[in-house]
Amino acid sequence: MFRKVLIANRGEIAVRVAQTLQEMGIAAVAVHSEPDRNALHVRRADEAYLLEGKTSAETYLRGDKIISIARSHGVDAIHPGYGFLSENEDFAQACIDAGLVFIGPPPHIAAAMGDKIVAKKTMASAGVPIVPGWAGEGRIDIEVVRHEAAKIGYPVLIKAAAGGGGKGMRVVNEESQLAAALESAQREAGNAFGDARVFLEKYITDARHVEIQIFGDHHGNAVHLFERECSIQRRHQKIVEESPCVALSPQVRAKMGEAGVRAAKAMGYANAGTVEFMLTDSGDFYFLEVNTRLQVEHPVTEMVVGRDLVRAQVQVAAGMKLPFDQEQLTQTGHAIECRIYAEDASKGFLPSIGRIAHYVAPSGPGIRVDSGVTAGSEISVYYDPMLSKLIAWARTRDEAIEKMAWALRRYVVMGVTTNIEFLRNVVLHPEFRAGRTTTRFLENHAIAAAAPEGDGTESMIAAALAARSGRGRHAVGTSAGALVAADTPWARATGWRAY
Amino acid sequence: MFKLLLKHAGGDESVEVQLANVDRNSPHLFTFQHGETITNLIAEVDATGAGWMRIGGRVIPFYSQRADKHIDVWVNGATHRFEIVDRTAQRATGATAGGPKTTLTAPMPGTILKINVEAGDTFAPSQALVIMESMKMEMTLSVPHGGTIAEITCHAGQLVEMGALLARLEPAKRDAS
Repeated sequence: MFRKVLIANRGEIAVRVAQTLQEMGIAAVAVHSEPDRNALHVRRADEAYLLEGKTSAETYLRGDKIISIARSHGVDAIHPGYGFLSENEDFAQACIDAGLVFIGPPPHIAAAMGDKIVAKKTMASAGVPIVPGWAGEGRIDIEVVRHEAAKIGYPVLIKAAAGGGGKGMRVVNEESQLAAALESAQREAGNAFGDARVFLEKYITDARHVEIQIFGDHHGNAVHLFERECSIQRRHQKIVEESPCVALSPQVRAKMGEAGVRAAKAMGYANAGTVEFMLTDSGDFYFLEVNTRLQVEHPVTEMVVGRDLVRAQVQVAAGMKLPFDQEQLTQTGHAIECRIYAEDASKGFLPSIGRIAHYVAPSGPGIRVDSGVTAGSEISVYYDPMLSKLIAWARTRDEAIEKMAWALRRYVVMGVTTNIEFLRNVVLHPEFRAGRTTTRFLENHAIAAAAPEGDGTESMIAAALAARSGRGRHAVGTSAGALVAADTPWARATGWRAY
Repeated sequence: MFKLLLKHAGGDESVEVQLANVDRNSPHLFTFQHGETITNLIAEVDATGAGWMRIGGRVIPFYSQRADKHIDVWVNGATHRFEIVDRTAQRATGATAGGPKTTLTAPMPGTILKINVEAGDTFAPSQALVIMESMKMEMTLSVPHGGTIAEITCHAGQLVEMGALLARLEPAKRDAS
């Protein structure tokens, strides 16, 4: 087994991976940018090394710098987390070339799945259902595209072969929009990915996003760890995820799981991966894409299946056999995850920056918080504004929703605007409670603010008390101030240790 | 007495509120007034701006963060921003700018438990004159200067309103104390 693993990431996932490594007796090595000098992921690591610079491009995306740090500090393996370098096949290959183990699938899989056209062809030949569509070869003739789009039937979706994050993606509702949409999608894809290839797909509306967690090892074994539903999205980004998916019958669940395993075997998959599908009301499902990394929302699977996916990733990367076979895996209870973002839901989810003045995460039976921040943390413009993930597990979905609402009601983050109240209004929305969710949930339903508790007197009293006491002004203004904050029972509950 | 003109961010009107610490011996006991509504509460705020209040039987934690012109408070799962339109603070009891006191009044509504002095008695600075109970908490009423009791205007067991006259005082001459 490894003795020392470098985590090439930041925020909550770096904190979360470090914990499992430390549980396994492996030293966790953090890397950090200049603004992250005092970040939680640094303080939770056993060793930490600076990546000079501020932006992601200067720091967390600099595979060369990270590999050089790993080599000079006796690191055995690199865990890439999600985002950043996690799906970059060149980085995975560079790790291997440097004698380091990359904790993730072999580079050729990331390369193949990163090309959406190759991925679709691989899945189709493995018997995995794919969204009806068309991918041309070489230069695309508009008359051919017109003909193919009509054959698929409008609305159609234009997607970039190298796509991601919604770039190079266009919805075309009728033929008159086709030529202009095609041209702008190609231009955007070319600029974003250096690869202007696009393809057509039937645009499926009002479907659920359901994905299958897959896991393979280097001994030819592959299993699935059931599904996650991730329909609640804003700007094509998930904000609420859950497992199981209420819409799956045992038959469809089994079919999707088998499709996931077939996909894994077709790729020769090793380590953790996710096969994403669209699920329609009729129970038909279509392949979307493969994510060749640990997903943000992996905790809902961990809670329901009772397995530590990071531990399994490390074991598989070290050459061991999968620590579970298909028959040993079952779903127990229901888990929901909410992504806590520093953003203003009332202003188009505009990111919010600042220093966290108060941070009190909820805790208790069935509550898990994977956090990258604490009181005193600086939320800057440089990185993704996700602060933490709140996960609630209970025996049933109704109880999990109640638990989530309870926890969101008690989650204190001050200093930046967060989506906590918005998330609470989402999980308490009658349509969400009824399990009627699609990827257009937030477009179709106005998320009304909950009626405030009481008549507002209590907030005025709190304001008057704060104004009178003259406190709370410089409480966490500096890192020394953060220690003052840590010296209260509230702050101490977050896991602060003042040495 | 601490007066504050607050405006809820997003709201149009500013409201005047008053917060008074009613008893120097019970620093956590407050009355809050907004319009005609008076709320009695127990509250504590720590150095970071985190605190709790108890109103009747209810326990309400809160967190606050101050800036020069506004205060953010987290209460009941929601964060509110208040703009501070105006503020005036006066010392709660005792040595107000007005000098020695000629009356002893009830700082909160409550019950008179015990009267330690009679008319004609002399008293020392901060001597316990009247003990009353409010919100299940005892308060000892005193004034920061010495003097003589001119008249007692309450009796043990009496239920009194906030501001009720409990005794008339004749402050001692300056050179006497």
